[in-house]
Amino acid sequence: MIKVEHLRKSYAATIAVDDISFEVGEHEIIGFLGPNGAGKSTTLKVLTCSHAASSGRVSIDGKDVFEDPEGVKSVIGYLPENVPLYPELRVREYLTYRAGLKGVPKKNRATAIEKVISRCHLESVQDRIIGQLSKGYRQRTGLADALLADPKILILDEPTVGLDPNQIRDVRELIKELGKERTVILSSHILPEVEAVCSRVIIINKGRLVGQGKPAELRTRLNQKSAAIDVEVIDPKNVAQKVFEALDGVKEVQVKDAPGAFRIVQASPADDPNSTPSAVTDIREAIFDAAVAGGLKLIAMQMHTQSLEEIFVEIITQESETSAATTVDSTNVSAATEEAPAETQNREASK
Amino acid sequence: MNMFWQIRREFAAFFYSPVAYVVIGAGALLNSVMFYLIILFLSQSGPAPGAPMEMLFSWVLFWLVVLILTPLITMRSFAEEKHSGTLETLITAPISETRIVLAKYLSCLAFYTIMWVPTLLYPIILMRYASIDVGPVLSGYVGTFGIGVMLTAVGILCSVATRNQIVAALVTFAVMMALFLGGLFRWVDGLAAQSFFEYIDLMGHMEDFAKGIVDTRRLVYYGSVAVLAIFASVQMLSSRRWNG
Repeated sequence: MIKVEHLRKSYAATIAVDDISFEVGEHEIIGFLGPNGAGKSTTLKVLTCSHAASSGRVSIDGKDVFEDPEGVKSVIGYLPENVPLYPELRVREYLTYRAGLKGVPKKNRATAIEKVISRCHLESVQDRIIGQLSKGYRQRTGLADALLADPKILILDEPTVGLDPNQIRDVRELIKELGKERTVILSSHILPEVEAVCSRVIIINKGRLVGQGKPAELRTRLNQKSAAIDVEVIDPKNVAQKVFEALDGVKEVQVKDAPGAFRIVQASPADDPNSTPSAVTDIREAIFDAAVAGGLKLIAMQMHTQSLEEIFVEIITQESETSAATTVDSTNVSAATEEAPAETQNREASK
Repeated sequence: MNMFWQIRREFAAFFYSPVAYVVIGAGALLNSVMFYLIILFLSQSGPAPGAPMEMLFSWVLFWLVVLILTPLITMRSFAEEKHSGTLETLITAPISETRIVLAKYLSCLAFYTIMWVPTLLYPIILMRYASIDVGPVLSGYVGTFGIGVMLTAVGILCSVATRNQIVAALVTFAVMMALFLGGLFRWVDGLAAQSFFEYIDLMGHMEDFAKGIVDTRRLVYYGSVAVLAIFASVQMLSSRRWNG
């Protein structure tokens, strides 16, 4: 369905995408994962004929993006990164205009618009002016536009950025549903999102393809080494550090800035050459018991989740240190999955 | 079909912005003042310097209207879409760059034409009180339209080149002034290319059009500049794909 060969794209002085090749089959949902500035958007822009590649070949549905851009564009529904819309139009007006522009035949136009409006739950705002809509509704308007011409391929650049957790869940459900009858490519820097939605993941960093595979494979790869737990205790006798260090499976106890706050780093199975790669065991229960036994009052405990950017930093340093790296250094990523909405919110806040 | 659809939207888009009303209002006001002055001058005793509509189309004030208001019509066409990012949604719709440029150009030209509609009242008013020669009035409008064909194309090109509407308007104004002032070199004696400057002298052109002389060489000139500017706009819009 989509075939990318040795794609390179450079702007004046910077190389945004450097020799990326991949293929996407029919009815696949592909996640494009990478930190900000990795070249995700650039790749998607080349796929949608918005930008031209510096070299390499891209063909979509058998058509070359360079030779037949209109043919390619007619099978793609595209949601650009910041969802550009005409703020002065009403939702329905905008969709009507876009339907005409995309060549939806006049007799089908009304039905097509009704369909996307109900699909993206825009009924309540269809007669409102886009400029006055909340970010969530604008995102959905953009998504509705992408779906208008019933495209075979849907390309969504960061479709859930700026949405609240409920909306994120809705959009993910919608994407999954859409993936049943078409090919979807979405970009994201949020690992749990990609895990929840995509059948296959392509990771890029600094314009290069770092890895690709099914989310589960990726997770074990990232999940082998160690996990950390942040705790806060009331510790009148000042014994907390010793109590935690004595625990089974603890590698290190770091003292944090706040009084009574520690980070307990678990020893990872990967440190032991005899163990098979697997996720680390959950020692939260043991921590609780040890705290009680040691006379500490445990007031907070949380798995430390690492952002994808941090994981990437580690992947990259790891890769440059040991060129033929087999293990990926990372802490507990599964925790991030459990706390997907919270993590997403943190990201929004930190932006 | 697609194309007409887009022109309609582009044309409607003018009226979502206050610029449209300002342009039409200012155009109507300036032309009315001009018409009023002409009537006052012609009411003075002594020989009449020309027919009222002839004066309307060849006075300096006519150029003030054209040179100031045309950049305001074309400035938003691409600059605004670039600025807000909607150009990307437009480009990724299954339509060619040529079509995008043409739709925007034709809607600007339509708006330019609409700007002159209020002046149609003047010959109607004049007809009530005197007999007027319809030919020169028509040729005056032909010239006005021809100049619009050229200048709106120039404006589109300037708007493609930038993402800032003000810059687009100022550059358009500068280029138009260059085209306009270039023609005035014809009055400098002894210049080698004097006949060239005479050929591009817009003011001279309008004087002729206002007298009823429709010189097709001039229309060809306007058309050529327009085609060139539109072609350059399409190229520039396509090159966006390479330069980001």
